[in-house]
Amino acid sequence: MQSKGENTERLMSSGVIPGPLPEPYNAVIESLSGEEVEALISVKRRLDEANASIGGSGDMGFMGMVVPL
Amino acid sequence: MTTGATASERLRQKIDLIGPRVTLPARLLLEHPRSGEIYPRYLATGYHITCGMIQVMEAALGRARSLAPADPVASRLAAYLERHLVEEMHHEESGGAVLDDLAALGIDALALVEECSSPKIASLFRAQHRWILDDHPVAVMGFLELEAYHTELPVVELLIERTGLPRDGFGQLLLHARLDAVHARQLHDVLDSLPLEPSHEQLIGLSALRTIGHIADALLDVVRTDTPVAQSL
Repeated sequence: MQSKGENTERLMSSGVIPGPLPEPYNAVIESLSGEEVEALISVKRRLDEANASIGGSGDMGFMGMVVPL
Repeated sequence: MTTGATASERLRQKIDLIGPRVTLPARLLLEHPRSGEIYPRYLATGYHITCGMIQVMEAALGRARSLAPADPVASRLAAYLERHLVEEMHHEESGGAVLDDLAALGIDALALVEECSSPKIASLFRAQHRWILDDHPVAVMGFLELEAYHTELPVVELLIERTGLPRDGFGQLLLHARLDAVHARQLHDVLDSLPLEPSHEQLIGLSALRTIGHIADALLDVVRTDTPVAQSL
């Protein structure tokens, strides 16, 4: 079994990912800088909190960000 | 990098890790029972993103030009930004086309955009300028990755229907729904042509993740507020 890298452990313990991901995501995760890991954790946490506060199911199709640029 | 994927694919995979909630503000706008009242404020917040984007691209271009003689990434980045800045100027003044859309909704556009200036958006652009000047201008490519998250045309049409607002107030969203698929492809082609080091990709990734986070935050503030916008504010 593949051992978990440091970034994978960090993202799992913060709830960003449910467990080790297959390639190519595993390699991408282990290439992240510490600042990228922190950014992922904080963005995911804020969006999850916002979704929970409005009672959202989290079931979303892709629709873009609706920003004029 | 050892994944065998391209730089643009790796960037997309990093953003994928956030999950589908990247589009939560847009979904809340679309489903809001008073979306017609919320939309002008949402668009006015977008004005600040548009204006800031032009300034960030100009700053990145200036820095890239100064580094270009000794830096092949900066040299190719400058050539791309020279083209893309022209493509993104849809009006004589940056953000002017968004003001026109707001005016088409019967709103005092200048008053509303002043009211909708967001500290979160301002903080994002301070960070962008810092990365460009202190680290490398290629950070701007992370900001521009937003173009890959453009609104699809059917979503804009649905928004027009649900808000009941005049179609002329959606000119920029309709335009970008058509243009940004092309812009995103061009961005990815350029990204994949740059001789990037792992540190460049980490800077682009950080820039993209922070951009999405700050903009989503600022837009969530808009869709969760109950303050309607008066006509001719």
